[in-house]
Amino acid sequence: MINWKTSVLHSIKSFIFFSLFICFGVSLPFSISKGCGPYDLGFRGYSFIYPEIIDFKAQGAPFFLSFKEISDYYKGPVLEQITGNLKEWQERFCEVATVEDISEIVYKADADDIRLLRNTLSSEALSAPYSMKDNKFVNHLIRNKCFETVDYLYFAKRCEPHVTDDSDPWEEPVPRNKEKMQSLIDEGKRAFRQTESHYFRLRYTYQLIRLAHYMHDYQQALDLYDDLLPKTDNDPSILDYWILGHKAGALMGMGKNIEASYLFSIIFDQCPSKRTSAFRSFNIHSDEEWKACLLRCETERQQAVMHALRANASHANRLEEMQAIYSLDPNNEYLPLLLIKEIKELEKDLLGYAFNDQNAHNKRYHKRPRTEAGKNIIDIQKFVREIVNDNKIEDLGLWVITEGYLEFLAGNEYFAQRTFKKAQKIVKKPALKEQLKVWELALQISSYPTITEDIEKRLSDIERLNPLFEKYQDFKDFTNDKLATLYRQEQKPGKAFLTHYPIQAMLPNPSMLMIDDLIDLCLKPSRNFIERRMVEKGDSTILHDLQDVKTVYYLARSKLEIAREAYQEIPRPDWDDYGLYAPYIERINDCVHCRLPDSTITYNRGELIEDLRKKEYEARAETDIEKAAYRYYQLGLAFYNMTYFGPTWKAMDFFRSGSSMGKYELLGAKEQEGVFDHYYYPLGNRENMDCSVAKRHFLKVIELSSNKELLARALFMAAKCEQNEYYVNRFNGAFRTYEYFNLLLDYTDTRFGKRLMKECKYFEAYVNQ
Amino acid sequence: MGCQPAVTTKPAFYHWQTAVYLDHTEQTMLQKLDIQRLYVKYFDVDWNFNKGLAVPLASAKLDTVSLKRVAEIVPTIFITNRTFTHLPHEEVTVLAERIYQKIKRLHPAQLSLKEIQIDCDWSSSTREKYFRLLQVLKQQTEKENISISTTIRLHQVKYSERTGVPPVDKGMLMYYNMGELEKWEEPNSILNNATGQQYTDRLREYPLRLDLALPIYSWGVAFRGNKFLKLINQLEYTDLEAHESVVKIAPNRFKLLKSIYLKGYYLYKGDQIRLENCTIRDLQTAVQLLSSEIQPKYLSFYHLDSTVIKHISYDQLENLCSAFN
Repeated sequence: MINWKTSVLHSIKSFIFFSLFICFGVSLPFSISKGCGPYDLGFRGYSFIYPEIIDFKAQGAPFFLSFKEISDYYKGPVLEQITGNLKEWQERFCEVATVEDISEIVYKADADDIRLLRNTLSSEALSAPYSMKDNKFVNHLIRNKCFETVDYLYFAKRCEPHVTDDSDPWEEPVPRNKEKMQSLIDEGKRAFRQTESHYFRLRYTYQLIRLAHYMHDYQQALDLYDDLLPKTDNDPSILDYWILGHKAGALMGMGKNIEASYLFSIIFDQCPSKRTSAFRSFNIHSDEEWKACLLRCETERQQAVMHALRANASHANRLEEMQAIYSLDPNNEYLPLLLIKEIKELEKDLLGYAFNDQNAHNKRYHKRPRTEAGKNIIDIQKFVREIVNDNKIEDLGLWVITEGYLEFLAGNEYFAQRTFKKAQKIVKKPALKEQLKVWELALQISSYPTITEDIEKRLSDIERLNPLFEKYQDFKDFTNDKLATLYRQEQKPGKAFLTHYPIQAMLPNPSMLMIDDLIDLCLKPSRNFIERRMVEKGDSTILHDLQDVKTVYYLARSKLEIAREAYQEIPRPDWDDYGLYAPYIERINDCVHCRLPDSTITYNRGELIEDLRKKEYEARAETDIEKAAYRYYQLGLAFYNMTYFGPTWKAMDFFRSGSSMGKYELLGAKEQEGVFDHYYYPLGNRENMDCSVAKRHFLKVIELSSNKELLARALFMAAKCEQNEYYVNRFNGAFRTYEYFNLLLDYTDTRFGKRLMKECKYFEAYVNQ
Repeated sequence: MGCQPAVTTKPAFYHWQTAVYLDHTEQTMLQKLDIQRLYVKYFDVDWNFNKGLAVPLASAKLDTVSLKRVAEIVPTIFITNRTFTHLPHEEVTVLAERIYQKIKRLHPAQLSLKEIQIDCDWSSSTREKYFRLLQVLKQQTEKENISISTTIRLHQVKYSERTGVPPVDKGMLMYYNMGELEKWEEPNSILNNATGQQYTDRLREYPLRLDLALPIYSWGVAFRGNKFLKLINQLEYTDLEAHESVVKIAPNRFKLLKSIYLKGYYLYKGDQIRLENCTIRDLQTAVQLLSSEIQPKYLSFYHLDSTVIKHISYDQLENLCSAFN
């Protein structure tokens, strides 16, 4: 799952402040798409399969099971053909040289290099070519006069260009030089006869059949196979299957796809380096061909392999193929691999579905759970029980514990517990024992019906003390998701939130239910491990931080009295810790990120609220109307500056996104309340775009004052509010009005009006139109 | 439409296989309908993740002897949308150049090259690069009097403000593949006039001159437990009838009582198939619907294959064309 903490910290650090409106209407904020932002579309769930319950090195394990642990174990299976070949060279040469030295000659040297090497072998006077002088493999070949090896390598290097294609795909393909290829086959046949080493005879055979195959001379490829292979008496080699692959390819080319598919199934089973290509080449089209191919199989195991091959197709019904494999060859090693593959699918459908907070994502992007999951698990359970009851498999351990896990996935926790208990006596292999413990632990965590102090303690003990919790990384999410669900059930929304996210994630749109829940937790006399982790900060708690959040919450809703009460819970000496703000700054051009002059008077939140309340009182109580009007003007300024559009927005918000204005085009019910979806913030981002409180105060000034300068300033600010109102509601059918702008036209002769004409081009244009 | 010069709609065909060899049935069809123009898929372009570049795939092998009666071939190139997702901006010009050169190499010397058609279901994120490629291609071919056309899907007409209009000479409206293929309830995803009708109201306003492509193919859509599995190309009623273990559960809907291979695909017991084809009545309705909206110069049928065309007569195809004339 997402590393939320890193992401959000990064986001906050890279906070961007936008100059929203340069004066009036010069520019609208830009829009960004709703989908903007990083988004991991991968499946978001859990898996508790211990890879070592199956034998990694078993036939086909990496092929069938692509999960990460096995992929890590089998780094780079695509290179298997090369490494397998190099290892075989190394073994044949008694490990006199490193794989790297052999690789230099077998894969990197060209035909000319090898020709020089051949000359060195022939002449006592010559030493190893300069580029090869430190190569131990080369030195061994020279020292022991390995003519057959070097002759073979020289031949192989000359064959290579005819069987590989690294031409530019946009250029006309160069036709194969069949004449040259045939002459190489003839030369190779002669070399084969002159070669004593059966190992190199086998390699010549491979080169010749490959050439014939690539020439599309399929009959010659088959003839070479029949002619040369009986004349090589070699130990088993990976080349046997490479040669068989070319024979199968030739048969396929001749339209004999039954024979070819049969051979590909053998290669699939026996040769890991060719498994993927054999799977792709296995090509049966009809029931008749399938039956004919089965008839070619010499053993039931071979028939089972054909079913394993078919089971790997993307739309295979694995259960049906597993049943077929089981009836043919109960101990077939593909059976547990297919079983694990099926369990992994069922985990995606069912594991933790009752509490996974990412169900909607999984449904949208992965169509999970599949509609057929319910039926599938019943069918698989039936099959696994049948196997356990039949008792035909030598080691039933995996099947017994799987029976329990499937019961757990199907929601039968009682039966799962009982089956796991029974399995404890049967399972002997350490890997299976560990797997059993893991599944039992998952069952235990998932089974808690409610949350109590005792269960919280048990869960925290698991997290701290159970080594499996750390080893299986999905336990963390699994437990947190379960915990969050239980907290929600118990009306503990704050604890549920902090189970998944840090408190910072709530700040752009705090929930008072959550904040109050967490304040209660901070005030609790004693806290358990989980609770301590949630709210403790050094020797103290996040209580004051929460009080600050509460203050901001009420301030943003203009509830000054409740905001003041909340802030007063913070000791006065600490008030400055939560920021200083300049509410009364007066600017013609709105600028949310411009530096404030050093002389600006700043207030912490507590002082700011107190000052606003004082000014409200003075405005009402003042007998001098002009003084009262000025107080209202100051209040209007403060409430304007603290909105989304003002430089003091931080006084009543923790996060502001420059793109929020553009998002209004995607208006929905949620956005209408000023809350926007945001990738990093699960509760969204609330923007304080409502300028109505500020406007109310400016209108009061207009109502009371006779001072033309003050009236000009108030009208201008009211016009700003009017315009912002239009921008916020423009996609809701709002019309642009100029009521206060029009009134302002009568004040162009004031000092403020003249300044406005100079600094605000928009106003100037409006006046002159 | 009244201000435009009268255009006679002529029939044409798409050929979408790699081996461009016309058998007797196909040649007869072309001859009887006096088809002059064939849209032939020359190659696909896809992104090769190993090489990190756009590569041509499935290049056509043209049998010029069997094509001798065809007066005009329009090379058609299918480019996957993901090609543009991965293609760097600066490589768009090179790709256009490569496509053009490859077309020229593949095109039979005896036939003049008058038009090239590009088929790509572009998205808003790839539009810029796709349109750039078309522009470059147009610049390159203009000198030789070769026009560029693109396929246009129905949604691209309806939402042209959002999807943009390709910078080409004309478009080929693909009046097919319009339904919800992956929904079991879908009556016919190939040709569903009720769905098509919802997209045709803005055809007159579309800024490109449009030719028209109509489907005459069939396929089976396989489902397991109402979940889409795969497409079985050219599946016909007779293929299903031939199997005892396939039962009809509703018109054009079948269920497998046993696991079987069907047209090379292995399907399992319980899987369901929706058989989709285009009846002449559906095609006539489509033509009626569209004839009041567009006046195509070419009505091209998708696609020329003896197994496909055996279900439709020359007269029927001719009548479809004459509905526009």
